[in-house]
Amino acid sequence: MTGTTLTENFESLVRRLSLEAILMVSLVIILALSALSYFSLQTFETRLMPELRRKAETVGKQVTDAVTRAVELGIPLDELVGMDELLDQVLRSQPEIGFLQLVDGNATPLYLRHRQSSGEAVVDTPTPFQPPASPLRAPLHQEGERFLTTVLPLDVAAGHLGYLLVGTDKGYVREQQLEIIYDILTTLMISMLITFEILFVMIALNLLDPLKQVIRILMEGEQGNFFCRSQEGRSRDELGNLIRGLNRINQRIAEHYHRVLDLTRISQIRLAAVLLEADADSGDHARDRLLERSRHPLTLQQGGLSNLRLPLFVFFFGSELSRSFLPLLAVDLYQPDMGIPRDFAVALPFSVYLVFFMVATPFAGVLTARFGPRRLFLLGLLPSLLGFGLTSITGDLLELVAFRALNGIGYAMVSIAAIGYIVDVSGTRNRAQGMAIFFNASMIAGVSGSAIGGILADRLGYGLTFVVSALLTVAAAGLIWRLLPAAQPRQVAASSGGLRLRYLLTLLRNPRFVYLTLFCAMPTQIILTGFFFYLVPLYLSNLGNSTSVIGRVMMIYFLVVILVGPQVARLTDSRGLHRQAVSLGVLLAGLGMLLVGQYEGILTVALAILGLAVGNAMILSNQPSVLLAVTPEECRSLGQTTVLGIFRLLERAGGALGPFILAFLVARGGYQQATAIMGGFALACGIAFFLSGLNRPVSLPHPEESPS
Amino acid sequence: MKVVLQQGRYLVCLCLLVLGSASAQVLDIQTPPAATDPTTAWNGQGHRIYVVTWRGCEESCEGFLEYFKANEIAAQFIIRNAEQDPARLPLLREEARRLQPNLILAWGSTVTLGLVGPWDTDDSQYIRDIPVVFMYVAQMVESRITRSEEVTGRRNVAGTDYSVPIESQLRAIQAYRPFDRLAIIYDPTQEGSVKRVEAVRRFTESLDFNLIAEPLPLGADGRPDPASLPAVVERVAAQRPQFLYFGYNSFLIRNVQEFTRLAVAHGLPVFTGGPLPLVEGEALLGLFNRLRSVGRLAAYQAEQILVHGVSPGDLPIARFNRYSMAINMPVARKLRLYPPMLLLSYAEILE
Repeated sequence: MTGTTLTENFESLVRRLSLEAILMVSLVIILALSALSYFSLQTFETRLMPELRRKAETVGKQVTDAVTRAVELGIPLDELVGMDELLDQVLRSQPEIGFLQLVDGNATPLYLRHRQSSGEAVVDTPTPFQPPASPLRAPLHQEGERFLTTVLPLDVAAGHLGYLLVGTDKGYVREQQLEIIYDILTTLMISMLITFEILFVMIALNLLDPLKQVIRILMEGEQGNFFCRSQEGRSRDELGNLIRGLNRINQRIAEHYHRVLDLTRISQIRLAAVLLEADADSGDHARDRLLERSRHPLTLQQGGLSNLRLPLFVFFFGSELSRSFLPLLAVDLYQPDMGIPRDFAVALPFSVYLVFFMVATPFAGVLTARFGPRRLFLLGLLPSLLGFGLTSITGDLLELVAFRALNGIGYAMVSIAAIGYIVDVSGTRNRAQGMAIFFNASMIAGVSGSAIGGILADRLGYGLTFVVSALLTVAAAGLIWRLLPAAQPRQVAASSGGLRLRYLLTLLRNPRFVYLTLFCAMPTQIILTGFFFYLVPLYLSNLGNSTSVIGRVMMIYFLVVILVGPQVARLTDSRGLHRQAVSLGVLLAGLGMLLVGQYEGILTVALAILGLAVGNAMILSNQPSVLLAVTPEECRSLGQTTVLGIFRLLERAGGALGPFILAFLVARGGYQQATAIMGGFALACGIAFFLSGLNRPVSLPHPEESPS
Repeated sequence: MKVVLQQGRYLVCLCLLVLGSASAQVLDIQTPPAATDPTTAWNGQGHRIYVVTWRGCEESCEGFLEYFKANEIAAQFIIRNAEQDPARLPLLREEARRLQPNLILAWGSTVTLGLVGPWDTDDSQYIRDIPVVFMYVAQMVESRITRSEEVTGRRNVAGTDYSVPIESQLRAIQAYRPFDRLAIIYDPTQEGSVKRVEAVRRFTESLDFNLIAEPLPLGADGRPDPASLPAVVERVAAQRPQFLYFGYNSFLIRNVQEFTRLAVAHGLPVFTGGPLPLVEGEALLGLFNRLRSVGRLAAYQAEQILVHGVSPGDLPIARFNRYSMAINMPVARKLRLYPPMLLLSYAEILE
């Protein structure tokens, strides 16, 4: 059996076992979380009724106190002035109260106010009230079909006046319960997602990787190479023991070899010839190989791509927590006496973040080359930690902007370090797989982070959510410390050789490059940062949605990209429709946004995000190919990485502008109009891009295969 | 016998002396000490503050003193009363110059003008080198105490404005009852009264109401005639305004009880920008600054100068942005014009 088949067999075996493990663990988790949820809901139910009653009594007392005071000042009960305003004020402050009604001693209704909400028809009058037979000492609670009515007596020193009826809206209460259920379900789903992630990593780290090394040692041994040891022999489990055992065997053989050499003083060449005489094929090659290997023993490195996966995910997860509410926080911190219009001020944290991210990236590249990915990853976590920690306590918008700059720098450093590590470990052949890990980590973190962040912000508040982000950053640091091996010899030369202005100008002279950048890359980024990051939370909040809901809606984007991305890539790859896919992607994004402009409501926003996600998936998988296709000469002269680098830079510059552009549009015409304008713009760009290259050939090189 | 008479004379003199000084205390006569007498002097504890009142230390003056106590600022106060006599002011100026206090507090326009003079004169008789804070001054620009409403424009003078902006007053009336006709009775012989009418008129458009302005009829002596009050109120009432605005002028203040009684008799609620018509008359609604707060505001200015070393001329004229609303409940009941529920929760109710 060849080594590759052996490896494959083992891997499929391990995979089957892990699937079973995952299923079992999922079952356990589902059971545990369901039980937890069930009991939480039960507690909520039993606590709810008394709480509602208490609230109604407190609210009612406010009104009865005010009324009795007025009557004691000599105002007759039926001549009270401004009761409508008073009752409305109370209704505004208590969303669960549906109506307030004052009746006199004979149950004649005197004053009645319903909750007024926009667009709803007026609630039908509550059923006529039957005064209780004996005078009320304490508030009385009655349950009706639509309302829970609390009756409070209205008494003054002179005697009994009447009653106040406080109607708690059962519909509102049911809505609250549903919200909690949604939150629990979301948490359940995300918990499972994160558990799977952790499970995959643990299986890879503890099973697959060591197993691969065992196989490798055995294979090397089969080839006659005993000068090989693995560094994975540190764990105390069965595989660790096995590897240690194998290492010992190899070591002893090597020692024997050297002792024999010493004892007999026969030259190595002659010995090698003796040892391998049986093997007629090998001949000189075998001798040379053995000689080479004895001089340069092979050390199988610990650590592959899987080591990075978990800490990277944890870090991204922490960063994505604020996705659903950062614009809302900025609005909260805004003060009109700042001198800047509100919409711009709110866009500042985003743009600053993106600008610093853009600027820090090349520096991060240089630093990674000097210090190695592991150190830079840890270093990058510092500004992120500071950024989150300080944001959790800030009360000033300008401070928030400064801290976002810190986070931007940190994010750049961590991302570049991660890519550096991936490049080191995977080499050019497995580069795509390695980058897929990076991409998946950020998308899954996006799903989890936006959903959970929304719930946390709703229940705990913005500040504490940032504290959680900070803690996750610390956790990521800990994981890197433990999981990522110390600096390895770098396989790939340092970064792209600098992004000089000259290179940029060269590229700009290529009209097809300009089309791609202007009509595809930049609009996409503008829509992503401007519409998705900046506008969506603000608009949805404006429509009256809580951050939990906003988080769940934004989650759609990441989910769709993860689920649809691979299918899209496969489709377009096989048919070679890269350029068309890219245009279609931009068009889709634009269409969704036009819908939002036309119809108000959360549904169109969800659809727009769906469109954006599918569109982005199409663009992301095909854009690199198109880029390299339109710049064959520049790739040859400047190198692929440089071209890619400059392209990304321009892309990100567009991204940094996004929030400002949308802030400007929103200030002019409101959220819907701004979205519609962006949608139209995207449509135009998509069409323009499609038209700009109608006669291009279809075959395009793959990024990994092109010569660097 | 002679001895008894002599002792009796002593006794009588002694009694007279005691009685005299006692009555002096009771009548609050404080004669300024002789120019050569420095002993009404400072005891060396804390800031030296010289207070000049027009009719004694009333509520605003007490508010001023309270502030220092509450904030534990060590200070000694010498309090003088001009007893509503302008002739005393030069003497008080002299004493102030001699005593060299760290700060002078002036109550009212007359006192302030008497101490520091108008801003646009160089007359050396006035106090120009000791910091002065004034309070309870109306029309500070018109009386030439200050250059503008925002700053005094004078190196050694800082001030407070206790007036409530007319717009706030009108909005307070609106909060009680919406109105589209507002009446004001004014004294055509008093410049301040006439100016007040014009100031209210400026808001007729923005707040959407008609102003009914009636001048007080003048008697033979060219001054408003109290006997004409009933007729004037009746004339105004006939035009059916929703509220009657009490414009502060000396005539109406002197006749506040009769005036407000007449208004109530015609079913007219009266609004006032000061406490007097509410407390002593039958006005219904008032929006003003409490006197204690006025004193405290002046004390705040004094603190800026004494403790934080700010130059008086650099301080803006301090004013309030929140005011006290007061409702006279018996009048409300009489008029059957009850206050709205929301106002009841934060206005002061007078019985």
